[in-house]
Amino acid sequence: MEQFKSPTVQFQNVTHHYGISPVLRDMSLDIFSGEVVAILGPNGNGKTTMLRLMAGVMLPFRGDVLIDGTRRRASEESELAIRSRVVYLPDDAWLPRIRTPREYVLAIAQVYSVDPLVAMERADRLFDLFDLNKQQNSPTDRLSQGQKKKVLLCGAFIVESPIMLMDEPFSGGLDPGGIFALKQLLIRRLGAKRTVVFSSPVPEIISEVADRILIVDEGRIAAFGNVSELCLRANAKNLEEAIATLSHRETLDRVERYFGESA
Amino acid sequence: MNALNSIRWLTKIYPLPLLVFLVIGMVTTQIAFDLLLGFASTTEKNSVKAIFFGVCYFVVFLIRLAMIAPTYWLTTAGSWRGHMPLRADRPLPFGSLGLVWQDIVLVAVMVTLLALTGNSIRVFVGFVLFGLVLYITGHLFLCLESKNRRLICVMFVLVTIGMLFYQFKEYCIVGTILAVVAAIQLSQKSIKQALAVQTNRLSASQSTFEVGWPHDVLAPRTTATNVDPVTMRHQQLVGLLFMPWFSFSFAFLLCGVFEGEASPHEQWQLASNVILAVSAIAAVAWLFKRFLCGVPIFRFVDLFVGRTFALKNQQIFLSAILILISGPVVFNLASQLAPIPFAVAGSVFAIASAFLFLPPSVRRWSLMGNHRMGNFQIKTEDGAKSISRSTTTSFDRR
Repeated sequence: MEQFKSPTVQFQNVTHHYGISPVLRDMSLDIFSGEVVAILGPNGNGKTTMLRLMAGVMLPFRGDVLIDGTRRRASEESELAIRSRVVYLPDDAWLPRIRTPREYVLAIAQVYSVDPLVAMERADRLFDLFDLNKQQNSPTDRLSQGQKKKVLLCGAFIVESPIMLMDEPFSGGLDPGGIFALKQLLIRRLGAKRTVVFSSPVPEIISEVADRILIVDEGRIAAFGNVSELCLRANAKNLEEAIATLSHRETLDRVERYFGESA
Repeated sequence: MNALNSIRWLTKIYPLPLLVFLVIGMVTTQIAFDLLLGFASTTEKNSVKAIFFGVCYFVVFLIRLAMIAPTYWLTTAGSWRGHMPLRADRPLPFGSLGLVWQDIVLVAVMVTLLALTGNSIRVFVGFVLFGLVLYITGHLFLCLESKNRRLICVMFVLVTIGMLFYQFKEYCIVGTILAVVAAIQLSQKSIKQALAVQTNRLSASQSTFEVGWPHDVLAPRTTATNVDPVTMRHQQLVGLLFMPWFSFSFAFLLCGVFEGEASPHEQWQLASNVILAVSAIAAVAWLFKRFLCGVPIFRFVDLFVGRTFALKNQQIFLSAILILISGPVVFNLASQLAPIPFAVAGSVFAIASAFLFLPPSVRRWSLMGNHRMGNFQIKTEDGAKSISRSTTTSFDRR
């Protein structure tokens, strides 16, 4: 099936270092149009770096990152064209303190050239979905951490762009309602053409939302496939066990050792 | 509705605590001036107040620009800009960089405050114009950040033209307004263009490529296109070209302000003192930049005392002394041949040249300065023998 589709996001032999510390090692992968891909792996193993490279805020040392077949940051025009199709929500996204959620969300829509009337209608629906109706006209510095995260998510979803990249969208103090709303947004995504790549450490959420799961370990792809493929590969009964086997086998040993010693 | 919108705009651009702080600061300073300058003449009082209000204008206009384009001032906002499809031909999301009619409200408030100080209407007009020139200066900061060489040059010229027109009183209104309009029109598109495409100021990407000696020899070269072709050397050369022109214009402006109030000798003395102060600041800054190499590794006091008395740093002390004397020497010589503004421009050029180009450069000093490569001794346990070794020579040869 995949061989008939053209990849939306491509990594071609991507190697990246921070200083002399290697983060990604000769990584190649294809993510296809309409897929929801979850990236997971141990801390400091390159998940955020992968998303940042996809978002074009960094360039790899070696190799290429392509969006719809165009290399990122190849020229000003092509880069701006890519950016207008990609929404990137980093883990530590900027939220202006003295602006209101409504102003911030509409400003993003304006930058992405969304029609103002459409943007206002989408903003109303999103604020309603994330339970921000009361807070939408208060300055953002009066909001709680979870409410700020919801505002950032509203900013990401108001564009309805074909490619969405999100770093830890389920973390940052989201309440159960917020998590449920976000999950539904990803599951019932508008139109099958929207490609979503996000990172998350929670297997339950990933299994519900993601079409394919990318497990990164020490800068390499440890596994990439859907839930049944991963379970088969790890010879595991469920996704949590498969992730534990493929991503952090040592942790299982450490847990056994810890409780063995205390007993 | 319009009035409500204007009030909203003002509260967004100038948050209330900031406005309250500014007004309290202005009133307090006014009272302090009256108390401290009780024995001074009215002209002297007005000159000091005028300078103070000039600074206030500058702060206010700078805040206004910062609130519109926060991505220049905040790292996280800069990262946000780094992945947004911001285009030069579309409006900025948080408002226009150009002056809007709501700005008049603020200018009116400031003029009223100035009026309370008892200055004449001519001073009001002068200061509104001076405020506009400072507004261009604020734009200049954005242009410096945008690193558009051509734009920086044009903005420097416009700032100084604005200042020169201020000196020629009868043409000041037309000249300054023209300079402001031209500066805003020219800078708007370029600033937005720079906002849109300049992504290489992000800390993460910089840390990727600037790993420092000796690890940078291990890092492979990037093949990426750098959208910003302006190097540090370019910026230095542009600065070196325009600093004398800028200081000439400023000196010209001040000479006009002090005309009739101070004798030529007093004016010369004032300019001489300013040049001496600038030289001293430049020399100390130059020296400290080299002294501070390695501060995260060593304790500052040890470093300062050690490097001062180790007698291995003659080179940097010599260069610092040259920076210190370059300005006053050039000023004294030039002022005998030409009017004060020219002498000021010449001495600023001398100080800037010495500051930028006298060896050793920070990079060279931090890697191969005597503090790193000097003699050191390894003593044996019984203290009978000591081995002295120097690596300086071998590195210098390389």
